[in-house]
Amino acid sequence: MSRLDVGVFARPDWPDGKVGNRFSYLMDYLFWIGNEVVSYARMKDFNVHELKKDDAIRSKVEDELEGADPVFFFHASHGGDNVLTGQGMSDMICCPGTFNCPKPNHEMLSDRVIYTLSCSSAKELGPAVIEANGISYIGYLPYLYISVDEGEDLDGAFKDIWEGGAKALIDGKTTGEAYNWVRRRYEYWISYWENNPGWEAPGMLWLLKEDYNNLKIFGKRDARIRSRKTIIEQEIAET
Amino acid sequence: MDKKEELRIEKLVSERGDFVKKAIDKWYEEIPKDKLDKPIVASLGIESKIMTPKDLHKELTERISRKSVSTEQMGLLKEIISKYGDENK
Repeated sequence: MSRLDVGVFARPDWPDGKVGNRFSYLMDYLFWIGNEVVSYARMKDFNVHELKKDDAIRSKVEDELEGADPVFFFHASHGGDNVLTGQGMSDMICCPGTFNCPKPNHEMLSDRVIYTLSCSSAKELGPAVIEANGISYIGYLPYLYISVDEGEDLDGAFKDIWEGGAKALIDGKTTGEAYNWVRRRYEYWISYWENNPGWEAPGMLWLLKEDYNNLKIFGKRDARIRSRKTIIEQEIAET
Repeated sequence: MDKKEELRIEKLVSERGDFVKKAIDKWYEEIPKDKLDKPIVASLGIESKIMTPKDLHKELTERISRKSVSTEQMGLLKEIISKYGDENK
């Protein structure tokens, strides 16, 4: 049994594609969102095992998964049909499939809840992880888009949605509840932009609707990453 | 976007290319000049794409002239036509 209230957070950050708006590179946006998730997890007394930048590589992820045996695996980086990438677009977790995967290690994610902000991995990796007794896999298929235009309702909308899904799990919501929260949040922002007259509206509606349709969940919908004891303690602390 | 909508957009591009082009141009004209060369859209795939309004306008315009819009960008075209198409009917 993997351990509740424990998570590995794999957060690469390297100069991938030049953006030059709020941040210099595309990966910086995911790192920004991941920072918020990790801070929130620590605030909520979640046991955080963080692998960032040069530490976000296959060997270190495997060591942490084996050593800490977390129930939760958070990933934010580029992805492909059968792969989640680590630092420098390296192969971090993969299963046999579309892209070359000489050493499949997806079984390391068995008995865990996975929340990934990346493209495409819900096509082959997500089902393979569940096949290998993974608990739940929340990811995207085929694409995960982001607005890199700066603004609370532009790139900030994606931050709000994406970090909110992970926070819902950290708060003790079930995987199904977290998935539904993310869907509702997409709906909120779609409605916001449907009522916004700006030139940004067509682009934002396009991206939000694509991500909304591409969001996938596999495996159990009633799983939690928090122990009952922690949820009760937090509820008491908040009253 | 469902198949029915995709077919509608394909039909519009194929039969009323000028109307679609006008809607795209109208959208493009509304974008502040200092935003045209700044990326606004990115995807997080292994072959990720980062595009500016100028990139999007160029690609959509070229594809309309060839009467072949990619499935990926059909959603953007639908939103542009919804917002700017009526003015050109």
